Amino acid sequence: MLNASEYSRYSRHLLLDDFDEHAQRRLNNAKVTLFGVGGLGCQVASALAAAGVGEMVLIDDDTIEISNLPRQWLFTEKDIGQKKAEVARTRLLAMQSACTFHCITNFNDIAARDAHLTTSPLIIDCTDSFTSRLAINALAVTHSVPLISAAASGFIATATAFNPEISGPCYACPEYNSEQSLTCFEQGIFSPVVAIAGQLQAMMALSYLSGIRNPEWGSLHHFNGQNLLMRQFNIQKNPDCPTCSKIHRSEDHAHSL
Amino acid sequence: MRIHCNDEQLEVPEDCSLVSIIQRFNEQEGALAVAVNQTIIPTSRWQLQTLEEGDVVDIFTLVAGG
Repeated sequence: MLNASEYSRYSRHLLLDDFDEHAQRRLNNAKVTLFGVGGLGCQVASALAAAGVGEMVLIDDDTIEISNLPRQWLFTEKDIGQKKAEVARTRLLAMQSACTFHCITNFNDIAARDAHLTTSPLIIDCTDSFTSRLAINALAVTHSVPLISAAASGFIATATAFNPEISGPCYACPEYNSEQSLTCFEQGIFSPVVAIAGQLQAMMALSYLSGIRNPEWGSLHHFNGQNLLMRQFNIQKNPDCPTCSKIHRSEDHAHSL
Repeated sequence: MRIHCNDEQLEVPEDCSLVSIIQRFNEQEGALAVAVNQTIIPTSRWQLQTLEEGDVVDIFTLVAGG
């Protein structure tokens, strides 16, 4: 199982209830596809790398701007103008040399993305718009891969895990009026709030990947940074959902062949 | 009958629809998520959803940044 160095490194994990060497090894062998390396993505990638997740695909075509620095803590002033995914890989490798990082800095590189999705048991959506979230949700449904999605603007953070494998709800089931959704650009963002949203994603991802606990699939966790209240809502599967009721999952397709 | 909406107690007619409550509270900017008794109601069902005595309605703005 774990060697002496690994045992020492992850000793505080091993002290946790329900967490043992098998759970740590599952993290070390896990592969995750992460869309977006901004405010949410910096948090999730750091937490997963530090915890020992073995392989991460970082997908982001964005470059670092000075306005990113208050909340995107993997980046420094010297990184401005460089690709987020590539700088993140450098910083994360310094933190965790045992992790393999794959960078995709062109969203149009669909072949590379889909090749990773077929071997990745979890998608984490850390993007910053409703449009991208709907597209990533459609990918998760199509590939039948669990998805952990979060968002933050102003003082509000939300996070939800979806699992198409158990025919639960998907991100599109509530049929939100996406044209009116608020982004950080319009509403601002308080950096601890996006950090909390990212760490909720990391909490769910690490619990799931280690096998110690499944997330409550379809539960929307809602945090209000103005009163520090955390609330929970259920998203139900919508038989008329514009995404999961229309898309044939690759698994279904395989069965039908 | 009485319902609760965003921590306020409201006196509403017996046949009160969810959409009428949303319109009353819809002064916020942006897309809305609406829950009845902690369950998110799809937007296409707001019109048909009726409320019952003691229901708890939560209306909040959907965020999409990250």
